[in-house]
Amino acid sequence: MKRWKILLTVLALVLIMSIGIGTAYGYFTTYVVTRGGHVVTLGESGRTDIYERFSQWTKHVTVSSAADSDPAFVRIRAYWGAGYSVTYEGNGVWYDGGDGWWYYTPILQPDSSTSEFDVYISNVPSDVTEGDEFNIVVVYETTSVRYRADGTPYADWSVRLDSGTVGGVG
Amino acid sequence: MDKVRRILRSPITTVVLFVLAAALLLSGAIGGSRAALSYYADSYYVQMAMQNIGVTLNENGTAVCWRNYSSDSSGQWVTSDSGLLTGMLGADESLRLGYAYPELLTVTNSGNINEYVRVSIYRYWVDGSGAKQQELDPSLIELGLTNSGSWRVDEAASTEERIVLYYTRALSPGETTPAFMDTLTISADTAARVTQTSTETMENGRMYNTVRTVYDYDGKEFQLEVEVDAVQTHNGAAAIQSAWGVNASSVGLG
Repeated sequence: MKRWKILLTVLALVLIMSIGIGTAYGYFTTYVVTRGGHVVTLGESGRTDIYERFSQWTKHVTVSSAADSDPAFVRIRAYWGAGYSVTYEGNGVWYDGGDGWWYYTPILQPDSSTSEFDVYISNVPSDVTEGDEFNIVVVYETTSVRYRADGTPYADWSVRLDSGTVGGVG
Repeated sequence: MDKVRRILRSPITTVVLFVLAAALLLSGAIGGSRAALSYYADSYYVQMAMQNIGVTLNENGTAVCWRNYSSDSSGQWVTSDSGLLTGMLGADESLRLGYAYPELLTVTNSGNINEYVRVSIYRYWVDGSGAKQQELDPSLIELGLTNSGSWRVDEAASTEERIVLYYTRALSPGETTPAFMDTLTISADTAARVTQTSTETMENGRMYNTVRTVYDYDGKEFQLEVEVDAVQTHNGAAAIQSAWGVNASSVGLG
């Protein structure tokens, strides 16, 4: 009978240990996966155009932006030939960058125009008659609005969004 | 007292106790097999027994995704997924390149057992149809990883597109980790990836030179995908090896 007792005890212990073996192969795990995103809209191109009107030896220049264009920064300058000189008037919203370019202070929004940038022609020769041509070329460039980490907008003029010229005033 | 001793020494008592023990063990096994649950995931199988494990991903303080096992009544997984970045932009707000958007991501142990946690962050670009654009640069999607003392980057498992992080200690039930990421920035350089064409036209005696710029990333959608894995801490090294296929000590756990 003693042998039976020992045998049954051992058998019971083996059964109890077998429970531990069973659970050792199953581990508690779980996981989640989620995602999200947004479309980057930069526009097909920064579609802008330059317009000018001429009066009293002054070119009044504006730059306009198409409706599907992106907000942009604008800068402008002029080139001219010998025999006369040129001065600028920014009308309070264009400022001299000191690098030959004048910069439009506000961001040019889609479907809008800048204020006028005036290019004065001075030292006009006295013998000028109607029909003579002045070769003054106005150049503008735009670049997309970028932001610093704190949200401050800035321009990176190493990447031009759009540019254009107009010149040859009669 | 002698009577009790006689009863205890009786072979009949021994046999009865043995049968009782065997019956108890068998009934326990039946209960365990009922509770066992196998769940198939893309890359591995998960086996569950009668305890509740759960994990929740929080975005800017709000739980956005969880998967918790509930053995209270139905014994099923309780899941939810409301997606990431849904509150990033306003209704008419366009994305600002270079701006560091707040994207505070944390993990909560929403189960009732301790667990180890691992996070995999994926960043990539897709086109309008959702197809992944392998040629576009994932590094333009800048992740503001933080709390490097609590979250260890597994450099060996990380790539340009995927960053794998291990939380460096066990997460208790109800506990929330420090953030592993706090900002998301779409690099300002995204606008510098362009293709330009130049044309010259003559109108009314005037020469026009026009440069048109086409953005390479225009119309592309950036994607941020986060996967959180959790595993029990009991017998942690073996559990990590089995569930995640990594050596626990090599990732600073176990």
